[in-house]
Amino acid sequence: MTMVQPPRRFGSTEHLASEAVAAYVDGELRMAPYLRAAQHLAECPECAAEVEAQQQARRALRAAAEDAPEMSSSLRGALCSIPSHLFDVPGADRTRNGAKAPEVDAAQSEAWFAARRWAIRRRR
Amino acid sequence: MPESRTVLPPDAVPFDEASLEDLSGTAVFDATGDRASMPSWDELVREHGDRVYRLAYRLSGNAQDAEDLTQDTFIRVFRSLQDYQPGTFEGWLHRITTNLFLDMVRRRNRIRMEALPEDYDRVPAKGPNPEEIYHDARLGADLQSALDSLGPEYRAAVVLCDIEGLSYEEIGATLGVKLGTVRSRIHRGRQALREYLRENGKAEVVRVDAG
Repeated sequence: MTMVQPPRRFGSTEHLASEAVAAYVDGELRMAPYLRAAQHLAECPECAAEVEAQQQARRALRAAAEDAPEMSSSLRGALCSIPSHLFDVPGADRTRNGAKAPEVDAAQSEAWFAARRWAIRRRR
Repeated sequence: MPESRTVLPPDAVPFDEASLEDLSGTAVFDATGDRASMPSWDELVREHGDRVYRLAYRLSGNAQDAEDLTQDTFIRVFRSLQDYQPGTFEGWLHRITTNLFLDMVRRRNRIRMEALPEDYDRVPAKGPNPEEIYHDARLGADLQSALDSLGPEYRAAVVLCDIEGLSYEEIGATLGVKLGTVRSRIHRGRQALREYLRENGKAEVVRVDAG
């Protein structure tokens, strides 16, 4: 009969791996490693400080993320015009910095447009 | 009930007629795979445009690059839409935007290294001026410049995690890297971010208030 190994425990000198710190903060550890980490953190101020540091950066970013920049109406217009642009003028320059426009298979995009229009009409 | 052919996002409820009615936009196509349910192009732009722009902005750190990245993302979407298989439309967009961003950074690094001395002034000229960078960066100029100080791979991981709220698994899929890499990039990215803020005398910003 084989003995079941007792679960591995962190000793006081056995610190959390740095990747485990991030995963702990983000709730990305599975239950067993999470519990082991929590137990170690209760005893180790060094690792607890590491966790707190990650948490601070995370909080700051998440709080700031709520203020999202919005795109301009001109960009919105440009996005909406992509189909006519790519369809009407294949190969035409489209970007400010002169990057090459993607090649468009005219027949393919025509077929696609036909399918799309049909789909839209049918839905209404 | 149609047979489920798709891998639904983890938080998706297995769909039936009732839950299907709650879905809108590209989520309907993701749930059903029915091409006829794909919204019109304008609807698609309305549904996803701001999110793509926001991600592009956080990654690139300025409005001009964000606009270019957003436009390139939607051009890519337009060209590949007929081949898109039901999955997670947002995830697809994240992947395209992030990869275009990383391509852009690599291209610029190459240009910078290949640039001859007499061409040198062309390179910075393509970048945004400081005014453009901070003009509408409501993330907080300090935090955005801290993000910009990170290497692109670290920045992408941190932005996807903390700004976009993706799980490690989703980040791994977006960047095409393993879970362990995701973990260490996020950890080191956040660490570098804090160090940058501390060195620039903004440690309190992190502690008290982001804005």
